[in-house]
Amino acid sequence: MKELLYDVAIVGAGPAGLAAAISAKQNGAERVLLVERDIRAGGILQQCIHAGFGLQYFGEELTGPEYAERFADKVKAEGIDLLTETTALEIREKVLVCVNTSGVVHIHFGALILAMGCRERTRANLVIPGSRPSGVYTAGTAQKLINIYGHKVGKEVVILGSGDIGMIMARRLTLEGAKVKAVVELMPFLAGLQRNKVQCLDDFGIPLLLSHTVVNITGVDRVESVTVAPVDENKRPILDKAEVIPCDTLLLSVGLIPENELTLTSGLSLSGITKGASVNQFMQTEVPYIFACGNVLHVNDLVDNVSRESEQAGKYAAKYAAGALAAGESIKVEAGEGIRYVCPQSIDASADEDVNLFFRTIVPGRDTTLIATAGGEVLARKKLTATTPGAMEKLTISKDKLATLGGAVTVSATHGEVLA
Amino acid sequence: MKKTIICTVCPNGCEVVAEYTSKDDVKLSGNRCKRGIEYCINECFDPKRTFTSSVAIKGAARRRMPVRTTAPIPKAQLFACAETLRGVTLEAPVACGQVVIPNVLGSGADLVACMSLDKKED
Repeated sequence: MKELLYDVAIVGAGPAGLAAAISAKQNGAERVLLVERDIRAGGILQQCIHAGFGLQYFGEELTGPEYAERFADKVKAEGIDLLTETTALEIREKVLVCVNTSGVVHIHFGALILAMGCRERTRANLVIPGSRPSGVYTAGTAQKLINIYGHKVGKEVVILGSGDIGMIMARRLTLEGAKVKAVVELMPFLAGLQRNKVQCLDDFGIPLLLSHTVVNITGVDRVESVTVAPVDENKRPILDKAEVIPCDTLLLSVGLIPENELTLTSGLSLSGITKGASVNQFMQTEVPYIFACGNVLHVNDLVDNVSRESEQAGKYAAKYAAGALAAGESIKVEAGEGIRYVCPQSIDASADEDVNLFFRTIVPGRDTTLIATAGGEVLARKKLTATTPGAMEKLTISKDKLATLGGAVTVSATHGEVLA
Repeated sequence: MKKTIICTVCPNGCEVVAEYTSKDDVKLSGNRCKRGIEYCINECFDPKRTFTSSVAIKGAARRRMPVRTTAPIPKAQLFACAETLRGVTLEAPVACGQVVIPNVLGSGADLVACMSLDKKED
């Protein structure tokens, strides 16, 4: 058995892990290790070959592989170790137990950063009735089959869910010669970003059926049709208005779940809403030597946000490993009216740095006021012409307000006009 | 003429209304910043998109190389661009940014590789 010793160890070399590793190194951690189960770094970005990454972080539009390569090159240049084809199995206090072709590897660390990303919800999560033919894929699996392995997944396609990956796959399949017959969304509004609706659906005349769902799948060896029905205000299908759409493929783009099996071995519990750990603004979990960032913590829509948040995790994990991160008073952060969740879930009031709160609204709206308060005092306020649950919003609390916070911080959103 | 455009230049996704008589007389409203002005004007007269796809590669640890155009190309050329790539096979090693097809379909944009793939060691 191999024993390794690092200041900061990071699980996952996707966008979160790569940014965290670079930041940890630049903030004083000497020995930094990335543990990755794939054959190379990059994570999900390797299969996201569409453009649109990096507009905020680099000020230019890149594809996923290009965005990943910039960080992977930096990791190499900084002398950060990368252990590929290695699976992390368990966290035993300050030891990460891994396995690879050399056998079991024990990684002793000063601080650990969880950056495992997320996985897709599947047909089993939705419990769609019907037969069990081939041709039902999650959108990300189809994306991998096409973009990495060069396979065709189908000719006539229906996509359930208007998440970003689903819409991006609608365009990809259309350009590759398939016919995308409809994108079907249970909610009365789009799940993903507006720009993906414009560039992936509208550009190609692909119909978007809001307030609809798939109620049946037929076919023996291969999908032959799906049945699509509108839903009422309680999301119950109106079956006498159902319509059969002949197709050979059904893609599911119905949400992502943080991949936290490893997290649970440390004794950490998960938030019922984000399905990730709870953290303070240092991205530090309730186990002080464990940090978390990226989609394993809460599912992001933009990788640029993941990179920024992960740099924060890397910086403070390096400080913790060096014994330079003392815990101050912990103030709770709560989701108030109109807000689904807020990350971080608490604020360490001793910090000498502005605090960014990231959150999502529950419904889309116009002329939205976002506000963070504590004990009646307004800490931050922002007015936006439009908000949607598909886009993460941010409020920043100035550092000079931290010392005098009067109780829990609450974030709320009020819309001038609700669009749902 | 009046056209409603969802600006895609940044994640704000503003709903911009363009009123115009010609290319030199376009009035925009609803935009929260100025970055998308050129995009919105182009959407009225000459819509363009960055084209991304993948091509076959031999001799690497992977079978597909992601590619993109170095600049947006006319929307009307997207399908023809996809067609052009079907016969292309690269040979590893290929560096990120390496030109795969110069001036693709006369668009003025090059089609470039988006990933560095080394020659696979057997």
